[in-house]
Amino acid sequence: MALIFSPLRSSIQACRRFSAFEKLVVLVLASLVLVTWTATARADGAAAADKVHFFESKVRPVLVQHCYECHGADEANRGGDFRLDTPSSMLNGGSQGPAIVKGEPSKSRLVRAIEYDDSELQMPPEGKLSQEEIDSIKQWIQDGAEDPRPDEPVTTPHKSSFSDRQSQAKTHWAYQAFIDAPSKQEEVSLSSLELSKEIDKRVARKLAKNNLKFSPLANRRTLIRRLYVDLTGLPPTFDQIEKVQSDKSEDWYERLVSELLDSDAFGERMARRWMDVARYADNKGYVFKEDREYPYAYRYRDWLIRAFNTDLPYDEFLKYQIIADQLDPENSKGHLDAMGMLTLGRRFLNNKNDIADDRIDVVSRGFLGITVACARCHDHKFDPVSAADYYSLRAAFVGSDEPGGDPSPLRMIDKPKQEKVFVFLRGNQANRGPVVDRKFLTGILGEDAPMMSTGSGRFEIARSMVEDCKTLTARVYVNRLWTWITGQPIVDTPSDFGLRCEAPVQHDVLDLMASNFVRDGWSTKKLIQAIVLSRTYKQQSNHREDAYAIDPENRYFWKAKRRRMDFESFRDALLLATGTLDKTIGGPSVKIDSAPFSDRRTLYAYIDRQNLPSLFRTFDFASPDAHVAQRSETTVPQQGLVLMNSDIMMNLLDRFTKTETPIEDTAQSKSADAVGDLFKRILARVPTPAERTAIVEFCKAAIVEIPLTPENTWQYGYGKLNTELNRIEAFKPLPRFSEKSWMGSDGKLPDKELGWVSLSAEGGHSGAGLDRCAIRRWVAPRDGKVNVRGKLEHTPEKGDGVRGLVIANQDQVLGTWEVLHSDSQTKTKPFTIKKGEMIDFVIDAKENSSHDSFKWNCQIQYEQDQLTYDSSKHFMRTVPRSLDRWQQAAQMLLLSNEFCFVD
Amino acid sequence: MLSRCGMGLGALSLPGLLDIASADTKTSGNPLLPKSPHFPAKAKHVIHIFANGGPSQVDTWDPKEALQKYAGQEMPGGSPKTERKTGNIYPSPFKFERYGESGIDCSELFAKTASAHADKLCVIRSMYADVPNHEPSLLLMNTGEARLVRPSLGSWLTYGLGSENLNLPSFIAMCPGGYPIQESQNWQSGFLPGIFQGTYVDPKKGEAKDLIDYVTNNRMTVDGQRKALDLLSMLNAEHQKSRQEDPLIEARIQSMELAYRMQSEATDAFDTSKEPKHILDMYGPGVQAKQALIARRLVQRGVRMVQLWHGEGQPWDSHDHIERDHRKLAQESDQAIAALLTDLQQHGLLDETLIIWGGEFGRTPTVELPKEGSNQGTLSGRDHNHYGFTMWLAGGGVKGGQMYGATDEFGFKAVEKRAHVHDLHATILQLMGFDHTKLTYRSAGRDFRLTDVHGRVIHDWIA
Repeated sequence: MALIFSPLRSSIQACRRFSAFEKLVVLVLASLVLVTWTATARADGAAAADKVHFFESKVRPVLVQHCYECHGADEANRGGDFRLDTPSSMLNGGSQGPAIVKGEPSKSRLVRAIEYDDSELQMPPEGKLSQEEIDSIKQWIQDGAEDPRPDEPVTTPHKSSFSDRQSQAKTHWAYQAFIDAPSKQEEVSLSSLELSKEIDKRVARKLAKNNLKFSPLANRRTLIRRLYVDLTGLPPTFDQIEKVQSDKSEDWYERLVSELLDSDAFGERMARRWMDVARYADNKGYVFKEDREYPYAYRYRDWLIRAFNTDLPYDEFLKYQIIADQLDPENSKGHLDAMGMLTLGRRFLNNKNDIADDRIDVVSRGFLGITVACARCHDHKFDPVSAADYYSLRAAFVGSDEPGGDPSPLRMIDKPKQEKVFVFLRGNQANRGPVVDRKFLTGILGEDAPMMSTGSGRFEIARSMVEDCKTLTARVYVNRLWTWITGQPIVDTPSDFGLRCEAPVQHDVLDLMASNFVRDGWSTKKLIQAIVLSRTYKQQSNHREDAYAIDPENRYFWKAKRRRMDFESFRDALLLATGTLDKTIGGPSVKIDSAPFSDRRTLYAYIDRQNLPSLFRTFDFASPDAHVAQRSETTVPQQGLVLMNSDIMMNLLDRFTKTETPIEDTAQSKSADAVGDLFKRILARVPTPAERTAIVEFCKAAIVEIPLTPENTWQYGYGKLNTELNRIEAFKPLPRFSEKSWMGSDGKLPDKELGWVSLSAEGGHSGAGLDRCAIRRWVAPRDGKVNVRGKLEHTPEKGDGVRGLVIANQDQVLGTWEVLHSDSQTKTKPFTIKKGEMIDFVIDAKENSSHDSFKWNCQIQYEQDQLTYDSSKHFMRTVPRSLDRWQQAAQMLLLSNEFCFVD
Repeated sequence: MLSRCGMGLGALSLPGLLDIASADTKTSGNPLLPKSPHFPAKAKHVIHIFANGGPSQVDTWDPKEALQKYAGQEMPGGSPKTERKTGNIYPSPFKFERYGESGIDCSELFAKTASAHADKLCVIRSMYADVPNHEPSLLLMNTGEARLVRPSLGSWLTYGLGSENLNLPSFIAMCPGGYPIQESQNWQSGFLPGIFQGTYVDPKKGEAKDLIDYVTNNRMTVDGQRKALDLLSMLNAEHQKSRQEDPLIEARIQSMELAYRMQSEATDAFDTSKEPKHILDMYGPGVQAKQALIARRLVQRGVRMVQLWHGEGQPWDSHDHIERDHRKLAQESDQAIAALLTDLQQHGLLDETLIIWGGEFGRTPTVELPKEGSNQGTLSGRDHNHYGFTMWLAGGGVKGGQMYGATDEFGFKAVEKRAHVHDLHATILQLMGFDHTKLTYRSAGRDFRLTDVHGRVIHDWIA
């Protein structure tokens, strides 16, 4: 920064010095002129000097003071492409055309700007110039805009540096052919096993050079768990581990690898990985009042699962996501949904430029590791990408339509007619620059850049990526695979292989894999197989002081990387441990952060792009707003809070008791077995004697029952109403919750004992007779003055209606209302209540108890702070019970580091 | 690790406040550990009172005699284009006075704030934005970019500074009753890690413990939880024995303990019932008072940034009935704002807390014309106006007692010492100790900043 800055600043200073000297000359000249002016015809030179003087005294100081900061030589500070510090730049202007027209102030854009009449164009931004200053500038233009300043060539730094970057691209490692490819075998690809050995050879060579060596091989148990999580996203169960542990054959590992690669869970795991790349979400983001759902987004996700499970070659995988409309137009092979990659982004209030920008970004970073979107306003500052390259790509997306409906709601097709492509100067649509030849990535492909002439040009994008840009495409993807499987990237910026990305330490390993990948028919499974078969992958993950001292970042791969399970694996593992994981594959997305809680794998979660629930963000989930190169990895207490307290967790723990025998009920020996089972289910191993004892002791202690909580202010019951005294004479809770309502113990209506009496979130039904009135009771959590409001509604078309009563402390009637096929507001006078006192909302069936279903939303609001307790909003489906010790022990096993780290 | 961070030092006034110097973000995996800014900061916290919808400058802080004089007449030169059609000049129905030694102009709407604090306010009358629509203007005000996904000011601040209290979210956005327009994008973290996103709290909802997700457990007692966590510690210690020197394992152990402490502290921070009566009375009734008081309690506990939105949707958007609606809105918030400033000062927090008041834009001095479907039959409101509006700053590092810049004769356009939203951002970052051109985050190949390629620090606002 300083290097760029100082020479420019000194050039400005040089200008100022020059002006002082020049002023002196001008003054002398001017006084000479004045003496002779009346006598002789005005000499051209002298007149010019006059004008120069005017400029220097009246105009230049204003420009220097108010304009140079943003419209001067300093590119870093410049507010636009327009300069006011040289004569030619003023005459030629910037992207908006000339700033001044000699002799015509009214046609001069500069004048328009300083006069402040046009709300879109007002300069200087900090405030209008004085009238005298404005008049001077107008006068100067009127007089021909004489300008003595040195006219340093108007450089277009972006353009020239674009060509610099273009030539740098010719030697940039990522854009070159594969290094050190085994040349004799060029046509023959290595088998996965051969490739894994070759990987190890190269890693070992570098380790040795740096006085490092591999860590010992991890033990079998560790490897089993590592493979399961890396390849399927699910940890192995106790039985699965036992089965492999007891496998006596030599090739147990290889067979396990094949088994897992062939499992359906593999495709699910990989699909979710790719969904980060594709910034997958189930909605459009903010689109004002338009429907924001993408109801068919899941079809793209399901296509990904199929693609990975069938090992669709990566070149085809790529092409379908960009041009499935041309490869499988009728969706006869089911590939049209692949276009969700393009069509499922944020919609930016349907601004087509921003939508296209998002698509350019997801394609260019996702497939090629090039940050093309940086070239929207100007040529890329660091990489060989010109604005023309950007607008050629833009044309491909604005030149496509999304017809929706069959054969796939996710597809995109070329528009029948393509428009001319312009650069938008500074990204401004209203500001058209030159027409561009539609060529694909001229900065990188140079002379070979293909014309994008087929329809929108998407065809050439897809083709060129797997042909002209083959090595780059392969490197980027192979680096992703390596990162996903081992947890540690070879290239640290997985979506930016641009000029600022140095060749990685493991360049040879990357190129070895990438070249073989291309020769081997772009097979994802075979490459992953090679990676996990390698010695490099199979080593231990433990810290080694000696190696750490030499290579703290593990660039040379002297150990494997221990990882915390990501959000998806972790939640899946929780479900697996509770035995409730639903392994159904595919289908519409499900909400996972609120009741009723889903048991589906986490990749089926509904992703709300606009308001991503805190649950996801807390666990470092990839932002669905834009392509994510790598998730961040944070350890924050909010994660602990979810695991300790969330309903999601409580729901899981509730399922524990259903299948576990509570420890207190069993004899000592049996309880020990129960502990053993608990460990097997959660940690997939048997406990140590010390752990056994600890759990048994922990469970022996009695629990302290939880106190009444404010959430629990509502109670659902029935009771007897004394209509003479208008008094509640008995209140009993309704014993069972079923479907949507609290009711009698049968769990269906009418109940044998209690009949129709029931209460739901919205209302309920009264029972027959005055001793079975439905009563919704609210217990005040604190003192205060409250207002009671509500709306009572009798909905059936028959019957004699119901009577509603609000009764405080069982005998103070605050109001009564009768409704018959009608509704009524149930507002009472303010009431002062003490903590623990109650308000009952009672429904009396009157004479006839059939057709007595009602709706009654009851609200109680404290005057002091407006806190409202709402019978519908705060409806409770369960009465919170204390977690028993057994559940608590299970919870701690689920929270343990052993459960969530993978060695 | 965290045990080295001096948690709960006796010298600090509240539990959870961190000893800044010894924190170690990298090894703990917690990006919220405190970090030093580029240069010594003038303010450590921000409270942004967001009058969402767009309060009218000519009815609050920017009186214009010309509006009375030319009431009902056409704007000379016509009205600049705003979102909807507006008609003739519409005078302010509110009385103005000058307050404080510095003679700050303010209407009756914010009389309490002005009479108690005029000399602390830097009233910026020359703010301007880019377009007259809520969505882009909200995003511009919050993230510095009107359309694309970018981190919000609070996310940038917590990214740059971390938090002084790990037991609380570092950036909290309160909005009574639901989201403002553009929803949680207003406090989004964009491409920054998700933990920097503002934590949304609806102060209307429930009691203290209902305000933050997952902060309480209704299935076990706190003591019971302690015993369970002791069991966890034992399990984790066994696991850690053969996995030494792994900072992530250590960090996760610590994070569970932090979570345990966070439960009581977060609940406590939001519990205004613990305040003495005279404080509650000073803030007055209603949810604006409640959230302002919570803001003080949060800042006191080291929270970096708190946003106080007026309410769901766009309450200050008085397209019609401006007299009635602006009066009601101001009545709801004036006393609370005045109390907040007083309260912060009494706690010695005003000097280190930057207070920002304003909307996403202002309103037209001309009356909005009726249109089918909106303000039918009335001529009683004003349209959006991004050409000129008022915001004020107070507190940490702010040069108070001044009215900066000016709009034109009618209060339509900022004309003197114009200040764009980017300039406001640049200056806020400056006050917080950052060179706005150097607080960057690399994403998608670019080093992004809050001010993008814009913004200049306005030193006149800084004491």
